[in-house]
Amino acid sequence: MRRTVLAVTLGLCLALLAVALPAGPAIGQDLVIAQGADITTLDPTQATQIHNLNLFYNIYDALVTWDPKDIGKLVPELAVSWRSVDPLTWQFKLRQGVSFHNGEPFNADAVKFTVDRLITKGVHQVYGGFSTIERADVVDAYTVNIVTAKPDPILVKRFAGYGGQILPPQYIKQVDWKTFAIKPVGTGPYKFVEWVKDDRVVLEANPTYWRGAPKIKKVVWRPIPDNFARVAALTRGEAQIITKVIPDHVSQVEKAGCCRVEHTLTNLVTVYLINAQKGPLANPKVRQALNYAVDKDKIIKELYRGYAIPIGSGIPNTDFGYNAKIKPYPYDPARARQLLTEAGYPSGVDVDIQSGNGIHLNDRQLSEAVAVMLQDVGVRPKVGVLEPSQRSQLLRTNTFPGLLLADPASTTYDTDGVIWRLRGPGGILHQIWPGNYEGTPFYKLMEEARVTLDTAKRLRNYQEAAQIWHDEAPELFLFQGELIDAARNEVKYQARGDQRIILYDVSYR
Amino acid sequence: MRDFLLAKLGHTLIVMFCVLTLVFVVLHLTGDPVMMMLPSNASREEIDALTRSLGLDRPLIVQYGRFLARVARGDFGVSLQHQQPAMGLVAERLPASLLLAGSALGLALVVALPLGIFAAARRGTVLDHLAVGLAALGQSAPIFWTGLMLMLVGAVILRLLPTSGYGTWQHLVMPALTLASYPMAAMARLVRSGMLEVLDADYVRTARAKGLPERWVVLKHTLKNAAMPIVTVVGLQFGLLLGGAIVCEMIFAWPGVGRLMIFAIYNRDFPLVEAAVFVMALVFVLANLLVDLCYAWLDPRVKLRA
Repeated sequence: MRRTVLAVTLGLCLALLAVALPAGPAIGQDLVIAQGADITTLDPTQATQIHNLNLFYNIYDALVTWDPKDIGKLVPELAVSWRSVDPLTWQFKLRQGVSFHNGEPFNADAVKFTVDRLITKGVHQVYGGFSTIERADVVDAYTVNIVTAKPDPILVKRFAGYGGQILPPQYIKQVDWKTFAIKPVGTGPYKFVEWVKDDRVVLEANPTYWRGAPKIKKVVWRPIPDNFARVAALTRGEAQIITKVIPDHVSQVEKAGCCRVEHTLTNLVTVYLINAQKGPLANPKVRQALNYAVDKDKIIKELYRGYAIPIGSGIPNTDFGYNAKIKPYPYDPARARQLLTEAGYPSGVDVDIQSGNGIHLNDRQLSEAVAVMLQDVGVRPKVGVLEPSQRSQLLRTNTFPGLLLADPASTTYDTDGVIWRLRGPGGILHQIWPGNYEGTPFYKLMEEARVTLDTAKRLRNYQEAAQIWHDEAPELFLFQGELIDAARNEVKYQARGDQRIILYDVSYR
Repeated sequence: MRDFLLAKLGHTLIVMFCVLTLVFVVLHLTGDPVMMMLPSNASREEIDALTRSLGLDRPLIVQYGRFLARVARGDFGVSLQHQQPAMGLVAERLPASLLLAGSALGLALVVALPLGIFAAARRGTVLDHLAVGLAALGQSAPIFWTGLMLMLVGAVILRLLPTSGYGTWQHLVMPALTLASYPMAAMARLVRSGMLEVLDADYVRTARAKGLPERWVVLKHTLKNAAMPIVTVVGLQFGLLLGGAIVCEMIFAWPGVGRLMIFAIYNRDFPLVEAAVFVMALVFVLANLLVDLCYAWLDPRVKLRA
C-alpha cells in the first residue's frame, strides 16, 4: 500500500514536470526585448501603458505617427494626407493596396469601424482621447471625413497616440473582441505568433508590409519585472534590448563592455500636485515658497544621476505651447522663508507629502529628500506612502491633503493634453486649484485654445497660460525625466522621446 | 473515514466562504480598479461610464450578493485588466507555481532530512554546530537577497544558468534553490530537535540494548517517530511556498500565480484576485487535509473521526 502511494506520488510529480516544462524558444539572430511587465491585452483599445503600447505599435498601423527625429511632428502612416475641410470636418486620404495580416483589405470601412469603436463610451479604455469626435463618414473607398462636435485643432494628433491603431472589421466580426484581444490582426510590420502569459510574446516579420519587409524576422518580448534581473539578462546575452534601466544600474551596463544605455528626454513631467482648495496651500505665496525651497538640481544629480532637467511650469519642452522664457524656480531657502512670513506663517506650516513606493522611479526617496528641504525653511512635512490604487482613489476624489507626486504627460504633445485634460471642466483634477475654475483668466485662455484652429493664437494663449501656471504655482515643479533603455552593442537601436520601441527601425549591425 | 472526509469538506467550504468574503471586503474598500484601468488623464465622464459598465456603482452589498451567486456557479468573472475569464488565467499559471513550490519543497526535504539526522546523531560535535549555523543562516537571509546573490553568482559571474525565465530545467534551478532556502533550514532544525527528543526514549534504548546497529536504530526506530512534526511543517510549508513564491517569481520572471496575483492586487483587478486567492486557499486546505491523512498512516494510534 505504502509503496503504491509512493509510486503514484512520484509518477504525478514527473507528469507535472513534463507538462510544466515546454521547450524554450529558439533565439539565434532573432531579437529578444525585455520589458518590466507582461502585456494584459493585444486589443489596442484596452490598454494605455507603454509596455502594452509597444506591442500595438508593431502589430498595427495608425493613420498618422510621430516623426522619429522630431516627436510631436506628424508623418503619414495609413493616411497619405489630411486637411481641414471646414471647422468641424477633417478629411483623410487613405493609402491604397494595404491589407491586414489575414488578407482583409484596408480601406475607409476599416477606419469608420475603428472610429465607431473609439467613440463608444464605457466599453474600452481610450474613449477620452477621442471624445471630441461625433462620427466618421465614408466618402469613397479611400477617403474618410471625421466630424467633431466643436472645432478640434489637435484631432489629427489624437490618431498618433494610443487607441489610434486601425482595426480589422471583418476579422473582429468573424471572431469576437475577446478572441481578437489574444489573437490580433493588424496591418503593421509584425504579425502575431504566440503569447505565453507572463513568459513571452512572439512576433514575426510581415513579408508583405507596405514599407517593405522588416529586417529582423522574429522578435520575442519577455516580461522581467526585477530591475537587476533585466540588466543581468542583457549582459548575459539573453536579451538584446531592455527597457526601464534605473539610473543606479547605468554604470553596471556600461562596465559590462557588451552593452550601452540609450537615453532621451521624454515628455513626462514629475511634479507634486498641490491641493490648493483651502488652508495655507490656497495661498499662492505658500506654494511659491515650496517651489523656492526645493533644490531640484541636487535632486536630479543625487537621485536620478543627472537623467532629467528641471522645469519651471508643468509643460515639457517637447509639447506645443512650451514657453522657453519661463525658467525653473531657483533654489532660494531665504526667499522661501520670507514668502511664508509674508503669507502670515512666520512659524511655518504643516504639509502632507504623499507618493507611492515604486509607482514612480525613486518616489519614496524623492519625498524624503523634499521633506528635508522643506523642513529647512520652516515647513513641518508629514511624508506618507500610498499603494497604487489608494493613490488613484485620492486623485479621483480630489481629496488628497497637501502634495501628491504625479507625472502627467500629453499623448498628443500638446498643452491641452498635459494640463487642460486634467484641469479643465470634467478633468479629474479640476477641483484642486480654484485658479482654473470658470471665470478665471487661466480658464478663458485654455478654453479658447481648445477650440481654435488658428495655430498662432493657440500658441500665444498657451504661453500666456504657462506664465500664470508658473506664477501661481499650483504644483511643486520638479523635472522633466529621461527614458533610459539599454541595448547590446551589435544591435542598432535608439531610444525615442515617445518611449516607443519601433522594431522596423531596429536591426543588427 | 467517510465521516472524516465529509466533515473536512464542510470545514473546507466554511473556510473558502470566509476567505472569499474577507478578500471581497478588503479589496472593495481599499481601492478602485477604474482609475487603474484608465489613463491618468481620463476625464470624469469617462471614469463614470466605465464604473457603470463594470457595475461598480451599485451598493457594495448588491455587488457582494452578485459575487457570491457567480462563485456558487463556479464563475469568477472576467479579469478587468486582461478581459479574459479570471479562473482561466489562474489555471494557466498554476502548473508553473506547483512545479516551483513542489521542487523547492522536494529540494528542502532532500537536504534537510539527512542534515538534521546527521546533526542529531553527532550532537555537540563541530559538524553539528556547522549544520545548525547553516540552518540559522538559511532561515535569516531574506529571499530577495538570496535570489539576487544566486543570480549574480550562478548566471552573471559563472554563467552556468539562465538569469531568469521559464522553459527548461536550467530555468528552474535558481528559483527552486532560492525558495527552498527557508523551509530547508526550518526543517533541518526541526528534524534535529525531533530526533534528539526521540533518541533518549526508552524504546530506543531497548533497540540499542538488543544490539541493533546504530544506523538501524536511527533510521528505523527514531526517524519514523520523529516524523509527525515534520509532516505538519511540510504540509504548511507547501501552502506557504505556493503563496510565498511571489518575491521569487518576480526576481526570476517565473510565470506563476503569485506574480499574476500581485499585479492584480496593484490594479485592483477584483475578479482576478478573488480567483487567485480562492485557488491558493484551496491548495492550502488540501495540503492540510493530506497532512491529517498522513498522521493516520504514520501513527496507527491516530483515528480519523469526524
